Amino acid sequence: MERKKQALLLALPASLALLLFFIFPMIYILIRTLAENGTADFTAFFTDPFYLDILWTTLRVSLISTAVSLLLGYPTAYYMARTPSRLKQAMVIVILFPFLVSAVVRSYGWMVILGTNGLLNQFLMGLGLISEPLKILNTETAVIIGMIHLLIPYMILSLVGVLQSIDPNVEYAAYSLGASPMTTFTRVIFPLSTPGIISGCVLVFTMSMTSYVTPKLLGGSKFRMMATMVVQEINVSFDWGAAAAISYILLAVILAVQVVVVLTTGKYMKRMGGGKNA
Amino acid sequence: MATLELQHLTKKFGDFTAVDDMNLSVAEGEMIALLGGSGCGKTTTLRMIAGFTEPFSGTILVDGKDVRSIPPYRRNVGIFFQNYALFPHMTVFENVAFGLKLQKLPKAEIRERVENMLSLVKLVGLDRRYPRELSGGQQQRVALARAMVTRPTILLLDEPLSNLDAKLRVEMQVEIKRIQKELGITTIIVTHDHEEAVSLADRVIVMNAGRVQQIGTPQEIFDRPVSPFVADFMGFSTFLHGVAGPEENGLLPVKCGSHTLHVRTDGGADIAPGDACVLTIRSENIALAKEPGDNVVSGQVRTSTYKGHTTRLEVTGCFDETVYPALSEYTEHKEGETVQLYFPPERICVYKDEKKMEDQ
Amino acid sequence: MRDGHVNWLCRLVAVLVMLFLVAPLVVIVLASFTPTALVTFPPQGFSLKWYANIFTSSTHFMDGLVKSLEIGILATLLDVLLGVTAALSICRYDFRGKNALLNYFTSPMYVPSVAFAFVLLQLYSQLGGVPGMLRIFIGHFIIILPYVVRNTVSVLHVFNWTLEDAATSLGANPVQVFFKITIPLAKPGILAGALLAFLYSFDEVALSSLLSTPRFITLPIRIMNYMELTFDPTLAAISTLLMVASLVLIILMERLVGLDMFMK
Repeated sequence: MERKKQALLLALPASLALLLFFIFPMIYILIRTLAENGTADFTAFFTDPFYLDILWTTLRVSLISTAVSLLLGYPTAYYMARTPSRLKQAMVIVILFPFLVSAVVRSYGWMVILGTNGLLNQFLMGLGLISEPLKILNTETAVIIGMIHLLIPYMILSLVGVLQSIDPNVEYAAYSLGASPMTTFTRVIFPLSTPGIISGCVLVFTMSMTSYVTPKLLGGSKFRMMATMVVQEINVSFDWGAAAAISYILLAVILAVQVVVVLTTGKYMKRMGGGKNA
Repeated sequence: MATLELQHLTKKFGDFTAVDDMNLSVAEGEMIALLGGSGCGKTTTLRMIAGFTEPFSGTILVDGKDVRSIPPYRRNVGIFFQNYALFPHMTVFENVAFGLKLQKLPKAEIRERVENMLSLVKLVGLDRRYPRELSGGQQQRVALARAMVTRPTILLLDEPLSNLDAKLRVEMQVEIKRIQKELGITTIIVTHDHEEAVSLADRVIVMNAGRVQQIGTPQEIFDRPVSPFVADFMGFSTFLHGVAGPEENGLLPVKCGSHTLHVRTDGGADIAPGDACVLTIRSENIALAKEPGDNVVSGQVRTSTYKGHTTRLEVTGCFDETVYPALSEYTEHKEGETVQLYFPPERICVYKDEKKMEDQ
Repeated sequence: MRDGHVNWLCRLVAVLVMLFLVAPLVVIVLASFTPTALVTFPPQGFSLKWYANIFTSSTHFMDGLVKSLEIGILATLLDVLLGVTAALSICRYDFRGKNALLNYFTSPMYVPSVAFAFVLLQLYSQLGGVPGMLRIFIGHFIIILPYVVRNTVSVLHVFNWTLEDAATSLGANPVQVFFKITIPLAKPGILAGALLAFLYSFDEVALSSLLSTPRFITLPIRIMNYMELTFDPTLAAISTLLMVASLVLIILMERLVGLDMFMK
């Protein structure tokens, strides 16, 4: 009883702060929006092809970014996990460093590279490969490149943690039992690393769905994703109802992804011993 | 140095009774071993004495005073934890000095006492190392030094030797006993290893499912366990079931299968003729016999395992149950060979077969 | 590794990913020293004028820096208090609903910061008269709390609680146990969490841009505003300075707690 009281006392400050400044406003504004306009703003979103297109763009960009991050991140993480510590240390720094540099700065770097007069076009035209500058900046491609750059460190770090915890002897055991490298990978390493893959993908997908800076800076004024649209509705169209609808729909999508992942992988994770923290 | 008394000590976790009406009185400077399997309540008992958990009922008296209301940090009980629980962010010196610094002793005195203690546990020169830089045996001795340097009134050792290899374990048994006697601290040691309990303690307490099964000197427990459970725990491996006959001249005949074994009871056993009973004997007390006689039964060797100082046989065909003699002289026995085994009457323990009595 | 083929492929991908990650950062550093407004490669000459420009022209970067530091430091300090106590309540005691409580403490992570920013904006407009600093501060201290909680929990999760018992048996009272044993041992997690939380606040854009007032604008917003008007290497110069600061921080972290903390 005494200990329970202590636990509650320790949990109290953070709980109250969250309740007062986070949970309450989130619910209050939702209720207010519904009370003022009913579900009109939400139905407008789902019936207007303009908004649906934005949702689709957001999903598409996020899925592509997640897939490419996994595809490139997995071999990188595997290599890091199996590399002597000196080299790994250097790679961790390279991966953490852009991770600590703001999205604004990183997007700016890509603007310098990908712009019409940017380094990439200068380089390609200098070589005579193209005569007209390529238009990459202010397109979806630029956003995806920036997004991968922003998020691949999260993917790699999720994967390295799990891959590192796989005993290399498990691999040798598979070889000794006659498994080819390919079989060892598909039957042993890959299944053991699924907790990292899932958590990495969910993280990257969610962050990409909600990202604001990268689409705003690299996508230009005509490229819209959910997050940039919220700001545009507030600052440009002054349509707060639409902003509310987009905000809460985006939140619902994120929560739905979390719930689906927990429901579908819960059993699997349990069988695997709950991942690395078991 | 102090006396310790536990009276009707009981601990419940929900419906589960971890310690059930435990009574014990420990003399000044005595070393007691709490022996039992996992979940028998021995560690819970330790935690109650230390004050980490409150008893459900019962009292704990130190030097005759009830300590239940004293918080754990004022009880002055030294504890050695099973996994040592050394502070990883402190050096050996800082670990050992921790308790003394809290007492706000002068620096010079702290240094002197820590150094004395480190030399007592033979760790001189390692005081600037961190725990992770020490071997298992060295860490163990740091933990011991840390628990004793504050001159606790009572020392509690929780499985002190379980993480050590066999050779180190024997060395440390000697060390612990030497240091404990040198400082004369009242000590309770928790262990699941009967050899450790017997070689370290002045008295041994065997526990099972929260209840005390037997309290006695190592010899008593080792030679005369009070129940088949305690016998099993103390390493007896041959158990025979039979039916008692009438006692004659201090010898109780028990018919086991087609043979009758005589057990020296001298009237001490509460067994009536016709009672079902259990016999048990230590493997090393079973001997080879040259010729037939009383308490000599022949059987066939099934396996023979050379154990260095003994040869352990598995013999069937004597009784319904298998017999496991441990022979001290090395003799080669082939599989299927017939041997004659002698069961000394004064070495056999006999108990009423409670299970069978209940079934009837 | 027996398998040269897979390993070769892994190494190639790893090298390419590293180059990909570093490329824009290297470009920024080089760009900050070019004398021309248009960044060219190879750079034509060397100049520090863009660095000077940060201070001499009306970029307001220094004003933004001060405001960002104020918000970041205050929000992080508050969250270390809230987050460490919250993490302790989850890890130190065994009770049903522990996981639910952890999810509650980390719930701001699952909410898009734009959505939260919008909600706060509406709330403030109803309340009226909420000063600029407080507007952003409330948003930031909520959104970064999960980082402190999660990193502290990751250490306390594997914490050997027997150490507290050991200290208690040696005469340490609960307060002494907390400050001499628990906090020093949880320090790597707390520091890592605090660093991530601070950086998140320092670099945060969505909340800050919606909630800022003309008199209270943080550095990232200043940079973005500048970018919309003038696209010159002054941006590269301020970016380079920020990267140097990050580099210093990461080296400091490596010294203090080791980088493994970030791979949990």
